[in-house]
Amino acid sequence: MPQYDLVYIVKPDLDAEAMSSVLERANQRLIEHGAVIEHTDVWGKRRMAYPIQRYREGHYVFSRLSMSGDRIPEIRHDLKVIEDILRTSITVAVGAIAPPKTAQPATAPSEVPVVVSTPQPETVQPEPSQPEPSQLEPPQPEPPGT
Amino acid sequence: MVEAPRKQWRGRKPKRKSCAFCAEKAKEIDYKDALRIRRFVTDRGKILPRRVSGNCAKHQRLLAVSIKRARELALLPYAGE
Repeated sequence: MPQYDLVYIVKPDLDAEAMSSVLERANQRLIEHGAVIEHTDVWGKRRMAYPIQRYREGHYVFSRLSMSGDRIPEIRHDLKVIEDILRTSITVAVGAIAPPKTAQPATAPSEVPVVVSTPQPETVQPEPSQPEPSQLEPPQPEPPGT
Repeated sequence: MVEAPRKQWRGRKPKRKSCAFCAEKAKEIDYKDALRIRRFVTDRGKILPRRVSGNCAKHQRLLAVSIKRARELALLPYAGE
């Protein structure tokens, strides 16, 4: 079955409970139309480039669906009926799905050696700077000597 | 005869631009990646022409579609900021 990307924007002034109920309702509609939700990613509250229904922000939700294409107009209509959804867009799937959170720790250790490598030049830099004060110190005793 | 019309080049030679998407062999351009696409839009929200961005024709077409999709989702502005 072909894959599709669904992105919709939910009103920003909903609390977590209302937000999850909107998600549930939307998902239910999708399943009713025979869509298989392969991945859902809530992007969170984002500032929109222009106001929609006088809202300047919106909760973005992204889903990757796998379904037959002839049900898309009905899904579009059903999502439009939900009042808390400001805008929807269904397109042919583009791009890879973001890997699950288990992949993030894998990238984090790779960053750690980079962080470790960077302090080394920094520690080298203070060393030349430390002799400088010591070089400055000997001239200071000299004036009392003279 | 041939050498007569030849002009001396004045100033710096324009640097040959290369398509940013060809460099990574992109087959599609993700409209959800607004940060990436934003580079190809002016601060007024217009799509940069090919002669400025240096994209190839194929990727410019894909890019234009993805910019328009991003605009629909308010990820990019239609006009201005």
